[in-house]
Amino acid sequence: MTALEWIQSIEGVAPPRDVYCQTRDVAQARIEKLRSILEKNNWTENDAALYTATLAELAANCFDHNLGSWKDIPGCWLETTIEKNTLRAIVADRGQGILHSLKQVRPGLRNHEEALMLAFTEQLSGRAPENRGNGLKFVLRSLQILPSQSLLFVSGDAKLMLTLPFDNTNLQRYITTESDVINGTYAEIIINKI
Amino acid sequence: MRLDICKFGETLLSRPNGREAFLAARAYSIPKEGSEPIELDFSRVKVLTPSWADEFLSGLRHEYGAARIKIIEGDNASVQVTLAVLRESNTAV
Repeated sequence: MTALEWIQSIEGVAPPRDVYCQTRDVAQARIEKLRSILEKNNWTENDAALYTATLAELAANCFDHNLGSWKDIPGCWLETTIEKNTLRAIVADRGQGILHSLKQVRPGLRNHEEALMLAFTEQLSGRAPENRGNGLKFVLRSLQILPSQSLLFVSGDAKLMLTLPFDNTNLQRYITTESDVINGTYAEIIINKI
Repeated sequence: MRLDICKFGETLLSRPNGREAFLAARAYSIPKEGSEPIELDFSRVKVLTPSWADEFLSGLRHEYGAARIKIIEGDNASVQVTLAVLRESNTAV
């Protein structure tokens, strides 16, 4: 089973044990371990740090915005693979998705595409009045510094596909509406070591 | 006074951990009296996220006032990007 198959399936089933993080603590421990693995594989300290922090923010969103609201399976799918000089990571959840989350604070949001755009460009969080909403901005900033290849982020039927270099001032051009609708969120990052 | 943030861990990732670090700093690390600057030294931190930093810094700023908080960033890229993002959003820093 792939992460995409898991997130698109109608019936929720627990992911394979090696990628399943039912709680925040499990996700955090695996992400912390990844940093030392990257450094042992001769990634620079700064690249390993930014990559670790990026994954941590993506995984944190799964828990911050879905605690108590999981559709069926709690937690996230966290998968990382290192092949030669390329690191690929997937973070996915079967939660409420960005549109449903942001509608708590922007009831006028019309579709997943609008919600995805807001999530990446404004300091806005479904958990207002808590002053949050910096995580995805941090992800974008880090990817511009890292020797990244791409970021794919999907929620509902909206897809953000970034391949570096990208124009940070016009993210709308990278967001499309797809025919498939996924549950929750799906993020995939591919990074090359210099 | 200077607070070595690395004492709270080299890898600082989550909001719950950032909140817990603030509460521990308030209880044990920061003098109960006086108004001397509080220098937060991030130079030995290996990984910092906006989630952890927001909880920790917001707590300190609310408790002691933003004017007393001084930050030593160091060279780590995750620290620098985290603090830049928080500054741009006018939160915590």
